Amino acid sequence: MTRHFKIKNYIHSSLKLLRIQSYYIIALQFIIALSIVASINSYSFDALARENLLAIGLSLLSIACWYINATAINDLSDFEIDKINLAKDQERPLVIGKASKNEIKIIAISAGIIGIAACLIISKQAALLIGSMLVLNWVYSMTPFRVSYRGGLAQLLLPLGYVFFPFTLGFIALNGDITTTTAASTLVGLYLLFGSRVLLKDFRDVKGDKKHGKLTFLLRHSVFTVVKASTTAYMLGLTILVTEVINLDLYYLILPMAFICGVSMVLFNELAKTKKWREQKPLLAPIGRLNTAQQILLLLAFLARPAGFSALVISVIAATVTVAMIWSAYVSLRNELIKKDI
Amino acid sequence: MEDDKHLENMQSDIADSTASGTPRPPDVQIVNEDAPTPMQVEANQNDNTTAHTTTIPLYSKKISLKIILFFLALGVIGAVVPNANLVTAISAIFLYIGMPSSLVIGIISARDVLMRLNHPEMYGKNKSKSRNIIPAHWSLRLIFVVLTFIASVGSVAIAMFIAYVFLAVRACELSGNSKCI
Repeated sequence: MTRHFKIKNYIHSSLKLLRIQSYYIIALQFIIALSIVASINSYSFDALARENLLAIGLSLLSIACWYINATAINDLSDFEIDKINLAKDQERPLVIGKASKNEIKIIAISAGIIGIAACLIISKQAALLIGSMLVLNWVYSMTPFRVSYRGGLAQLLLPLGYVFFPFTLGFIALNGDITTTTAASTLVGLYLLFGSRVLLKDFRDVKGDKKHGKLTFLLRHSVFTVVKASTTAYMLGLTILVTEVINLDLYYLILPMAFICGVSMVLFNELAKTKKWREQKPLLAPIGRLNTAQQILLLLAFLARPAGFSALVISVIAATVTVAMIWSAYVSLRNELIKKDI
Repeated sequence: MEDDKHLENMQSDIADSTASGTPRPPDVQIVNEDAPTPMQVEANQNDNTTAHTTTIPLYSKKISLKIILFFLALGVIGAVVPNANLVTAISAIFLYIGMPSSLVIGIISARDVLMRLNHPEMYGKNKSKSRNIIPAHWSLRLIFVVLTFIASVGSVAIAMFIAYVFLAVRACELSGNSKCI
């Protein structure tokens, strides 16, 4: 294998490990943090972004590196399980034979080093933060701790990486004060909202997890308990976020949030009644998309105030976001149901 | 299914007897003995547990309409009451009711859509076994999305907006401001 081909293969595998859709969701937490900094300081988001372009770029790079490190370590740890659960998943280069174990190890180490270097340019605090998150990646997937095997603890810790890390990094990068009530309560709300999503992630992996004795929260408890926990986290998180929107005097933004919440409740209820993967699969993606819709509406609330948008503009954007996300959830549900029929 | 098998057996018996050279009796009638009598058919029609006679009601239209009428009524009451404090109180009711109403509409709309998706054969206009009730062409899809939105969320939003404008203008008028519209 030529050196050129090898490098190309490393880059290709790294991009696969980035799992772009998940990365967007993590980056969304970072952007929400930036919008809060702008809102608290009554500063235009555009101006804030222009002034801190380098810090924002480096932060997004370090978040990507952290996530590549996390997925690489997890793929190494769960190789045998993934061979059963995700045998044809193109985003798992190790399972489909596009990369060797050694290559994945090199990618994980390189991503970690690049991430720390990028954060060091921002500040020492940022470097310390990503360092601790890299340790979390190890603790989550590797022995002796292997938190991913410890049921509810895994779901409790995962949002640390997916929400706490990008959110806090946003505040560090822009020298914002994370101890303000708005910042702290939004962080808790987003943590719970994401926690509700993470609780549902084990549904697709039941077969392999059972075979290899990986006792996830779902395997330790029933489908009903998992959905109940997820719904509770969702409702608590959403209540906190809605309170933040009310504090911004954007009452009318609560209407689409409540509407989406109603739709999500029905999907949670349907999921609680299911027993088989083929019944559960169509419901999971719509629940996830509606969860993201709530976060986008929250982002809109924080962006609208300093930008000086009129009520009409905010209403039109909120309606567009709501329709687009509900439409996307509906199409996903319908397509999965058609596949189920076939 | 049992009836079909029964019929098939009878027909094959008759075909066999013809092939073997045995003449077919002149007045043999193929009768499905398990077929329901006219009285049984009538009884089945009255029995609403029979799957193919059941239709699932759609709640979203009725409840959305009631909520829309309620908001419009609030707007009208706000427009006629002579006291600024009363208008403010009605505005507050409007805001507090808006949120649970939105939640309820979300729940019933999603329930109806799920019902339609899970039982496409139960609905009059879409009595196909396919779940593909959306037009194929992108322009028709766009029209479908806009119409669906106006029919479900949009109609309520428009009603709320009208009521809100009524109340805001009335509160402004009662405060003595001359430029309220």
